[in-house]
Amino acid sequence: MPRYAMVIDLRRCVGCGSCSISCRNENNVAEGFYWSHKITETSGTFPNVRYHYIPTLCNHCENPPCVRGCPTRAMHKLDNGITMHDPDKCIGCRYCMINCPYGVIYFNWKNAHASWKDNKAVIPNVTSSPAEEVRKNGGKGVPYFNPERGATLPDIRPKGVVEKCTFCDHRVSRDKLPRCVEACPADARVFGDLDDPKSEVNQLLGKFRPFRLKEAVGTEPAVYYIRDFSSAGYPRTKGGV
Amino acid sequence: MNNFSFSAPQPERWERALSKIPFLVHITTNASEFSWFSDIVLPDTHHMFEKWGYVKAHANGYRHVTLMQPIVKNLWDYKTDETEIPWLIAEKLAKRGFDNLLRHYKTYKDPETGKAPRNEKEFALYALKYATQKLWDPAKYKGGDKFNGWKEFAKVGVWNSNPYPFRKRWGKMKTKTGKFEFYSKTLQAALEKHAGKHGVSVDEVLEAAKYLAKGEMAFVPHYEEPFILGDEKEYPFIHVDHKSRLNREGRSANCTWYFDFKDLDPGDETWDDVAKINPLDAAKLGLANGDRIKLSSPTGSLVCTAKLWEGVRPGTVAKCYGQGHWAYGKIASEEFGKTPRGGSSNDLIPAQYEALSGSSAYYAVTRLKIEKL
Amino acid sequence: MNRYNLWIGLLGLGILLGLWTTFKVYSVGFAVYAKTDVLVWTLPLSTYIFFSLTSAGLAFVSSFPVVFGIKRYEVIEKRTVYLEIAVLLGSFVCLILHLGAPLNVIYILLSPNPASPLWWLAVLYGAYFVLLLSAFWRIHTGSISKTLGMLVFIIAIFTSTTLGWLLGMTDARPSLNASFFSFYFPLTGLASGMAALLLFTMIYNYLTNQSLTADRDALFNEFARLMGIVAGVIGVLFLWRTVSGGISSTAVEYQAFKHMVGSIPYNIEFWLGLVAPTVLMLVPKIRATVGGKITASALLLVGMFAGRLEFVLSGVVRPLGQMAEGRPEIVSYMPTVYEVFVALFGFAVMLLVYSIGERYLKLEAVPD
Repeated sequence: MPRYAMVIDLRRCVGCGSCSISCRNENNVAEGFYWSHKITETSGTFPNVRYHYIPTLCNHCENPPCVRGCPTRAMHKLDNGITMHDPDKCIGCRYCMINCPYGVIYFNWKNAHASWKDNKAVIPNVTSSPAEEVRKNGGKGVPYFNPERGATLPDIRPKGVVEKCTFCDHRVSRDKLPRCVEACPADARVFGDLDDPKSEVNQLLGKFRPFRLKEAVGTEPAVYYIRDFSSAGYPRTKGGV
Repeated sequence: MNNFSFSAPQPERWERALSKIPFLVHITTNASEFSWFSDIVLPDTHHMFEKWGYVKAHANGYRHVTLMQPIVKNLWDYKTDETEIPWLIAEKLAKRGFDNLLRHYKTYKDPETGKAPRNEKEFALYALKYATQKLWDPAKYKGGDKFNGWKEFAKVGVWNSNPYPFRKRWGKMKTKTGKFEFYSKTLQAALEKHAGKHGVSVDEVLEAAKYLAKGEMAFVPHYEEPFILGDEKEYPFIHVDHKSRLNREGRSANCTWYFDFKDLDPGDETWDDVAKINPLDAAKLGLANGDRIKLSSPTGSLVCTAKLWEGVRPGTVAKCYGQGHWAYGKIASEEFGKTPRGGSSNDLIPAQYEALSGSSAYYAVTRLKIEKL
Repeated sequence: MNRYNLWIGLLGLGILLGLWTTFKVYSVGFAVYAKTDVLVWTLPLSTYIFFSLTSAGLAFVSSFPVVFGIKRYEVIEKRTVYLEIAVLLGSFVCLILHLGAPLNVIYILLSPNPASPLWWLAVLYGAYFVLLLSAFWRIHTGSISKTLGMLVFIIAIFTSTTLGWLLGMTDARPSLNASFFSFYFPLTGLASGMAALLLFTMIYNYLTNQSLTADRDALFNEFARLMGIVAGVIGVLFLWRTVSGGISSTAVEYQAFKHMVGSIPYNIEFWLGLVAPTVLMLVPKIRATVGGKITASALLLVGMFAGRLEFVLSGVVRPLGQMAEGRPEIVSYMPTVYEVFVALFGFAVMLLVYSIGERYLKLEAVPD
């Protein structure tokens, strides 16, 4: 069985957000939820200032605290290393959200896509309303609804349960890459099998020194980061006293 | 498919101008600021996926022609501005005895079948096939990517030229001397002609165009001090205008995702319209993150939120273009037809032009002052 | 008679507000609560913890006569066990309104995960509830079962310490660590249980205009003194937690707890809930009075209630990882009115069950 992981090359990533936006589409994710997200930081003082962007997602940890704590095994590991969630078993206790060090789990506090239920057109009989647009597109929650997500999860999750990135398990099981990996215009996200010595992820992990988020907590994330955005040089110097 | 009363600098000029036009038709996808002044609003197809058309680009020594194709089913009855609407107008004119236009449109026969278009949809397609025939028709092949017909071209979606052969235009450039000109004889000729036509000197023309160079300096590469409107004492900050990653002008503003992802623009915040100010400047003004502020230039003003950010040079205020719609849609505006959501950069940017090319100047054209509200 | 009906009416109102909240939650959604993915555990859960630890504490109290054979405490046994049940029912109400999909709780049995402290809690509380009902029934029909009493006591130890394990399992949030909470919970549970029993007994005597026999008076004075001592010990423990975690620690993740030190829930817990009862109960003149006992136990319970919110918040106010993006380093919390109604609902149910029991089930009776 494969052991899936992702390598994110920070030298290639420019923070365009295509990953996060396309994920929203692929998984019918609600507004305010970011299955794929970022950690940004502006550091330094002008003119010695930099803006850092680290794309984030569920790390599909090998020692997942969310799985350990879930009373009903709604959070569970698949054989291929993906940390998966089963909303049918979820009691909505949100213990996984407490356990997760990375803040990647979201809770459906209300029914998703509320803004698309609006029936009022700004100019009656002239412009469309969000609800009408959804109706004309098949009536399932959002006009850009993706039915493929329904293969392994409720295609739109109900109120009262949590949700998070699943490494696009519904695509991976059909030999397709996760949507964020496909969408990245810079090929900054590389997906693959850690148990395959020839996989690209293993090559990259051998070639470059990777880091993972919060390694000290011992979760053993499956999302690795390599390199740095800036490849700038600087005048050779020993500084001064 | 334009929206000048939002997208052009000093849009209030457009509002005044449009108010004077007795009859105006707007072809548009959204009920926008321009539509507000129109008598008839016609729904347009979306350029990316609801119409036949093409866009050209060239870069890196290649030319590209990309097809725009209708790939989704139209939800309502809208027509393409460039082809379908003129055809329908032509049909109606023909019914009233003025058939010139329709007869002309019918000459745009399908290059593959020779058939004349019978309706607006066929016209849109045949006109595109006609316009791009050299690219996809093997019989008319002139170079670049080769296709075995329209179907293959439509499937691939883009034609790329052969790479520009090194020095192909050597000695054959579109300049007065035919050569690459460091001393631009072409510009000299154009300016002398223009000056002569108006009975003034070339130096007077340059001065009117707000250029500092005099004499021959104007024809060679030289440094020009940027022209920035506004007195430094009254307007201490230079306006740094920039586009958002999420839209080019203002067209994404009616999407909730635009606001959900707004902080993909470094320094910006989600669900807010911020002006980015260096913390040193902010301290002098007593501004904190989240303060409501009014930015004013010599030609206009807007209200937005202050954001203290190190990524901004002191003495400048950086604000992303694209918000400030007062129409366009429910999300784009705060209250449709009444209150804008955020502030439109065009309300600050003066209608200044780079005189020699005629382009609207958007970036660092004016100085601003900041007032805390 | 009139006072009783008025009281029941008041509780009925609390239940109605709770039912309306339930309706709101299941129609509009849980967004009527704290609304953010950072503040995921708030007042409804902390109220549940307050009730469940108080119930465990009452189990410890009921163990005095049954497990440890201190015979003079048999007089409080019936009321204690019944109060345990009432408090536990209050906790269930808050828990159900905290969970997003309570009907899926069946999967705790169908798809168990013994690696999860939450699973253990669910199973233990289920068993606990059944055992409590049996124990009370035995007492009501005249006898005390030593076996049931022992089982209840052991389960109460496990539930209170497992709750500490539940918090401590989150390595990502060091404000919540098991080595502190697995001790703090049984101890504070004991204090809460003692306070609850003392409070309800004293109020009962006051309302029925009964005066205590000399024996009982001595018993309750001893009991109150013990409560004061326990509160004092907790106070010391609490103080050292503040010093090492909240003041001297430089660890970044402790910011959440540092923020809570000096906050309203913290101050209520420490000053009202620990310092005041200790002082009151260690002054013999005050301890001897009914008013003193009622004040001290009420303050302790208020303090404990606030304290449950304090540590829950110390675990969540500092957003982690990508959840911190676009948010301040510490988020602020104000309970919504519906969260307050959930707490009121729990209290109303608990008080209603207790009041009915007090009226009809002769909780003063001493079993054999």
